[in-house]
Amino acid sequence: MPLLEVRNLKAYYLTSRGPVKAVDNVSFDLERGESLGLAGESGCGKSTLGFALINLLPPPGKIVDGSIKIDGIEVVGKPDEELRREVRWKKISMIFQGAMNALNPVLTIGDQLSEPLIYHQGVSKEEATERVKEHLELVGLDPDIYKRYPHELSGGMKQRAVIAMALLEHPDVIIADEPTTALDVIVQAQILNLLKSLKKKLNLSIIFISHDLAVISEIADRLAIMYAGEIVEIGPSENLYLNPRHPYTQKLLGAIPRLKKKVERLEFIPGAPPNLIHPPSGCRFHPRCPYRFEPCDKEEPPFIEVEPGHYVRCHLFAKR
Amino acid sequence: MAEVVVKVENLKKYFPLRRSVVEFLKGAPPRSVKAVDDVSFEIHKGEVFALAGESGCGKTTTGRLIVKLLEPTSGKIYFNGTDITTLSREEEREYRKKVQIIFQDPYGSLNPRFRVYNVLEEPLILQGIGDTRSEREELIIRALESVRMVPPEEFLGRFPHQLSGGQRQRVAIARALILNPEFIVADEPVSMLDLSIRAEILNLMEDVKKRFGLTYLYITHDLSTARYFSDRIAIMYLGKIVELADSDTLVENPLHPYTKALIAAVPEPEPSMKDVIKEIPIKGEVPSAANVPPGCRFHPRCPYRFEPCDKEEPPFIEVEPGHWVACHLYSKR
Amino acid sequence: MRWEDFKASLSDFWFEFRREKSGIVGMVILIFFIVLAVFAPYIAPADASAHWRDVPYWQNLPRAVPPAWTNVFSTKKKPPHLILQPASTDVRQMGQITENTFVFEYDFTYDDYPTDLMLLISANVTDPAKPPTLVLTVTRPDGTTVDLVSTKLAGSGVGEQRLLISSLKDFKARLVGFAREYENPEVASTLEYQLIDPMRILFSEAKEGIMTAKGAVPLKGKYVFTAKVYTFNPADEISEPKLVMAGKVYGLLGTDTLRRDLFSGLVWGTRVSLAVGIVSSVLTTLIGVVYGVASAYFGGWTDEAMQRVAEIVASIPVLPLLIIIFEFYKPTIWPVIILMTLFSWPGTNKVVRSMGFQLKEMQYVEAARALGAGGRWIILRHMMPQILPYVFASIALGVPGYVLLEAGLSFLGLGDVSRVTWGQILHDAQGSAAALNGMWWWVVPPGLAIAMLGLSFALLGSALNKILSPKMRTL
Repeated sequence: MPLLEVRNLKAYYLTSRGPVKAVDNVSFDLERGESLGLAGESGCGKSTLGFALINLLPPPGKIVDGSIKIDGIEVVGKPDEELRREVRWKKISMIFQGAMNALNPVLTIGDQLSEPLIYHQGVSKEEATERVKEHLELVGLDPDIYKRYPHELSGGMKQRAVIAMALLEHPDVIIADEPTTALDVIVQAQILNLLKSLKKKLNLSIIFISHDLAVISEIADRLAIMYAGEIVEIGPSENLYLNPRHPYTQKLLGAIPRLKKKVERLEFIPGAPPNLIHPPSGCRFHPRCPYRFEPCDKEEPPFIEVEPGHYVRCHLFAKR
Repeated sequence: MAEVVVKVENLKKYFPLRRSVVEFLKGAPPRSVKAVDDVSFEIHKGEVFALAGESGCGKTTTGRLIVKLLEPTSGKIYFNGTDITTLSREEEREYRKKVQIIFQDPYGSLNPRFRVYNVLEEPLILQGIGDTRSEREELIIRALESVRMVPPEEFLGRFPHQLSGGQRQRVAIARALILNPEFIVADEPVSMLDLSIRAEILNLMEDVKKRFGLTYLYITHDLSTARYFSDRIAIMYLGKIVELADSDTLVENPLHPYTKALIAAVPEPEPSMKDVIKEIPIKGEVPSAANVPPGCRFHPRCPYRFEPCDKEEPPFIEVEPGHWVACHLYSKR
Repeated sequence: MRWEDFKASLSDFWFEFRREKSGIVGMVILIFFIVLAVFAPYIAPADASAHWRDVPYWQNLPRAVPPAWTNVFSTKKKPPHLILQPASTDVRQMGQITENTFVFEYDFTYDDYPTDLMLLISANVTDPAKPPTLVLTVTRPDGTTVDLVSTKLAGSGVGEQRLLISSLKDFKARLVGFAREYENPEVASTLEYQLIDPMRILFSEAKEGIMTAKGAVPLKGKYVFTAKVYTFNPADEISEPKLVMAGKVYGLLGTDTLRRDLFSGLVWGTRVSLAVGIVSSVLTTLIGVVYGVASAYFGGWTDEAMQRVAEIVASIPVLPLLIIIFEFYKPTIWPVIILMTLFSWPGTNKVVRSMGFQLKEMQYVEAARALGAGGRWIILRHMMPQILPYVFASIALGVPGYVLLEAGLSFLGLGDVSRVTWGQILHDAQGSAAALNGMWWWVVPPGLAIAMLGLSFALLGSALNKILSPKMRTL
């Protein structure tokens, strides 16, 4: 049984102008110790999916349908009180985008990290301090950071502290939402190294959300590409990077400038992602797709397994 | 050798820091952030010159000095042979027509209360171009067409929030182009855009460059786009240029230890790295520009440092034709 | 900016403004007040404002009665304020003595009694030693006739006299005498004379209970008052007699304890309150905005110096200063406005300055500077439009504040006593504990007027904000 099992998940923002279908009919599995990269452009729903998994959708967001099973526990529809007691932070936790800049400037790192342990877990102050120091060391920080204030730390150190915070209650799954976006390349590489070593050391499952396919390639065992609220392609990283099937994935990979490979002219995808209140009929990518043909604007394409573990949502691969 | 459009000579920009009352009473010397500290380079006509480096290295400040949004502490900037640090009001106006800047944030660089028409009309009014509304509208429509916002009439009445990120950046480019400039400073023009649009904007910038005979200073933290887009790359570290070469040479044969580390750290979209802990030769992070280390400013992080590094500043030497580096490893001694 | 551009942007603006319902509502309320203010002399008596503090001027009105329209909501119909003209006039010469007879008819159909009975009369008396004599009798619907009063008019001068008949001892004594014939003697003897209301006896059924508030039953029907005025010199002239039935309800908004017509006060007060509120608020905000934006734009030492000056101004205690100034100069409305304005702008300045600092750092401001824009362009085209919504909100929110501040100054005797303002009406109401005594018509209308004026500006402000910051429209 997979550690995380997501089936037909729908998370909408219920606005006055109609529901914004930010996550629509998303299904995937995640094994223990596995990392899944979640890539897509801004507004494709990847962050919303992250929030939905940990059941912390900002209002007016709401999970309207589907199921999320973490370690066999169904979390959709579970009262918030129970979620907090049994699941959130304990089974699954999240590194929020920009969290390193959201640290409270008037509390020391130690106070911020131990507070939830003391107030939510009823851990004694000494034990909490001990645990926090342990985790600071785990993410490669000097335990003396405990007494420091956020402004005394560099960006990379703050991001490490935020990672330590997400690990405090020993979760099985960790969702990292753009954890390296605001960082410089060298620090980014250091953080990626840290996540890789934590994954190995703690047998951690990671959902790594990013718009940057190059960064994801450094860490993801499997890759999911999202477009307009749907997963359009998912499969082992090697297959996706080297042999992408969905036209969107192909175009996206073609648009990445490479440092070590000279490219004469980069490709791009004309147009812009659609409005998620009224997504296009049929395949949501069809208005921008160079290969569209007769069924694309009418029927929603099925999710097709093109090779073991590699699924594509595209009419080109439908058997007919 | 091609004609030099912009020449920067020993450019310095220090931002003074406020002293605390205690420091003031103790008579501590005034401190400053040395954002740009003795930078020199030339940009040739028709080329794309990239200034690359991590945040806080002074690349953006250099760009702002060139477009005269900031005044240098010392040093000279020549544009077509004229020193632009001492311009009269009239000359400055003329200069601003020829030199334009494109900003990083397509959300922040357009006034949210201006329609596209107003955004593009602003440079015309400020430079006194076009006497009637219809004359200006003609120019605005042509500018929109040149950045492929077609049909232009459809966009004239839109507000920035009614445009996508890519469209916004294209309006910003149109604003820079409408005055027929010779030289454009592009400050991270694509770093806030989505991947699929990034290439589109870079390609567009490339096209208008050819069409209008432009020269670019491309400021970026992203070496991949720098290699794709520019002819030569200068790497900055803590206010100084540490290495300068043509793009291919710099990426394929970096000399400075810092450049090497940067290149090693850039991820490639290939899954082969996923289980490898990458070797990054340098540790730590960039120190504050208010507290520049003595000697070579990279020495505290440098794996190859030796005796002169923490004492003498390394000279900027041409190791091979067109390939400059500031590192004691390459000084002849 | 050329004129045609201005016209075009104005018509654009109007086009967008029309779609903002809240703005239209605010506009309508504001226009209503402006109409009230402009046409005050036509809507209310033209001299009401000048005579607001002139107590005798209002003596013909009833004291502290609610508006006339309250009868609609009440099962007990109260008599309105009525001024009766004589139904017939007769003059008889008897030697030197002239007998002027005036007959007034009053249809009494109410469930409550008038508060007062007054006679207004113009008498031209030649010999002050021989004042005219008045004899007033009434014939009630039940046929009984009562001599109400016999008294002398004032003997000197020319012009209108006002006789508050219901307060004359004679009047009360005679009516009490009349009532005793019907009242239960036991009840009559225990009654406190002070508490007997002669007006009640006059308009009640002649039967047991007539003397008590509980027992009296209004006698409806036609009352005929006959006033005979005897003059003792042929040259004396008597004219324009009027009999006033001071009602229990009056006009659109009732009266206060000084018998002043509150409707007139409110209408005239609109003028001053609107002027004081709007002018002070606009001036204060403008000074604060210009000062704050300039301070932010120039920055550095200029900013430091300007802010220290602003702080010094802000720390001057305004009220004591005003008290001292007005010790020496009689306050009128304009100096009050100017002084309030001069000391109130630093707050706006601080807020605007901090907004200015943020705006100055915006990339589009930098972009404009890179295009060669100077300070004036950046301030007017880029910074002001962003600050404008705040400006309108600040003006709107300031208006009621200045209306109240003006009232507070009036309370301290620092207001312009030659005019009536909403604030002064409220202040008088407070002084008479109007709210405690249930005189809502004295408190609610001016309070509501202040609130509505504030609301109109708040609605206008929010509509302008939506137009000027287009992003909000999509939310």
